[in-house]
Amino acid sequence: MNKLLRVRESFILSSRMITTNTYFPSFLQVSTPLLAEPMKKKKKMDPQILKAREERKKKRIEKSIKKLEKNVKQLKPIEEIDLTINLQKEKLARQRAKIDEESLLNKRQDILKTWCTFKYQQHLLERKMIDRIWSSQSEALKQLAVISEELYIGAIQVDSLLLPFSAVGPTSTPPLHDYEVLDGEYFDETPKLK
Amino acid sequence: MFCFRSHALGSLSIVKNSFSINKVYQNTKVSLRMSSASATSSSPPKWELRSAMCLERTPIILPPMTKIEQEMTEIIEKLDTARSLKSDHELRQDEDKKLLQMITDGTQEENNPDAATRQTSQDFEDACNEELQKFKPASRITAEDLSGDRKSTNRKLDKHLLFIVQEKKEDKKVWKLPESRWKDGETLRETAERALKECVKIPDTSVRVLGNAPWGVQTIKYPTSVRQKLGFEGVKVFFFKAQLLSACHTCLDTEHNWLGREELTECLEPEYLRSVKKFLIDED
Repeated sequence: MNKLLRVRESFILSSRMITTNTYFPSFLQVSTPLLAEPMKKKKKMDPQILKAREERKKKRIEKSIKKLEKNVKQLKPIEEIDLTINLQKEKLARQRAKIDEESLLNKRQDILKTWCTFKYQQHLLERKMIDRIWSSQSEALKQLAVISEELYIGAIQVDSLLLPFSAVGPTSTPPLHDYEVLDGEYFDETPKLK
Repeated sequence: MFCFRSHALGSLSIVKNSFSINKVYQNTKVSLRMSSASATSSSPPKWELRSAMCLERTPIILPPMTKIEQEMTEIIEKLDTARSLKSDHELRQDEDKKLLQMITDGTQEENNPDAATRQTSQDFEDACNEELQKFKPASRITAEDLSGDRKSTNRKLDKHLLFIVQEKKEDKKVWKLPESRWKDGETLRETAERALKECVKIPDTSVRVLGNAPWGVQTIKYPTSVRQKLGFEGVKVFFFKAQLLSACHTCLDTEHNWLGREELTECLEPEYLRSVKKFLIDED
């Protein structure tokens, strides 16, 4: 209990009155807190108004987030895109010394020229071969059409099992019999969830 | 020479003509019935239909590189390395070189305790080379190549091999592709597959037939005496192409061979060979 008011009572019982108080005549003692304004009563706010305030704050924050996200969606123009600093450093570190060899250039040019003609001849031969195979097939289909229409229609049906066609190409050495394929090195990176 | 396009258009015209051929065929049928006693000069010639299967073992290894190809690969490798950036291994090599130089110059002593235990790039390279030496790839020339065993597919691994069967006809042994006569109610492709089944155990060997259309045709005309006896003008053999996908298990009583392109010229009859070679892939 806040007893800021202290009252000293002196019982006047005897003729001799011994008091030490100095607060004549009321004998009231005042302490400093009393000099302040008494506390204002806490007003209960309308819960709806409080909610409305919070919502407004939320909306403001969400708006600003949206604005920032818009920037992320916009693609950077190509001229501004650059390697990350890590990659730039790596690129510097991994540069090779350039070797200028004038003498090899002529040799290289000669080989490239012969390669060009070689590949062209190869291509011509392939085209010839394709033409030959194609003409053989079309001749066969022509003759079949003359013989029997049913068989011809059966022959020009699309073979659904054949397409999509996939073939394993030739390797430089044949496969080894009874070769045990070893597991490669691997690091288990499964995340440990606690 | 480049009649690719014209052939494509030609095939289109065949499709268009098929409908008109149908009408022509029906007309001649009708005319046959009407004039049964007259000579068969207006009717289309009857051919005995046969279907043959051309089974090939595709190459397993690459052919050796020609000189120009080797030179070109060298050039490309040099260019690629010159334009590339250094790998981690090369960076380590540079670091090791620097360290060595420092040690020889005397600026840095081997006070680094890790230096002794550290695996230099050279050690790593040596270890890798050792591992490579231990691995022996299979040889490109097989035992069957050296012995000349024509019955096995493990021969001439960089070439195509063709499956050929021997047919005994009137004491003449003829080498042919497996063929059989066409029966009513089946397509020509099915006839070819049946022909192959007689020579090769089909569920054990996996074979991929390349399409429903024949790849080539050969016409054999009978002499006039045979023509009248059998009622056929001759034989038309339609060739179908297939690829061998697994090891081949042949039936026991078939006399067979797997031949390369040069050996084909020895064994097959010239006319037959000509029709077959038309749809085979070129080889050097």
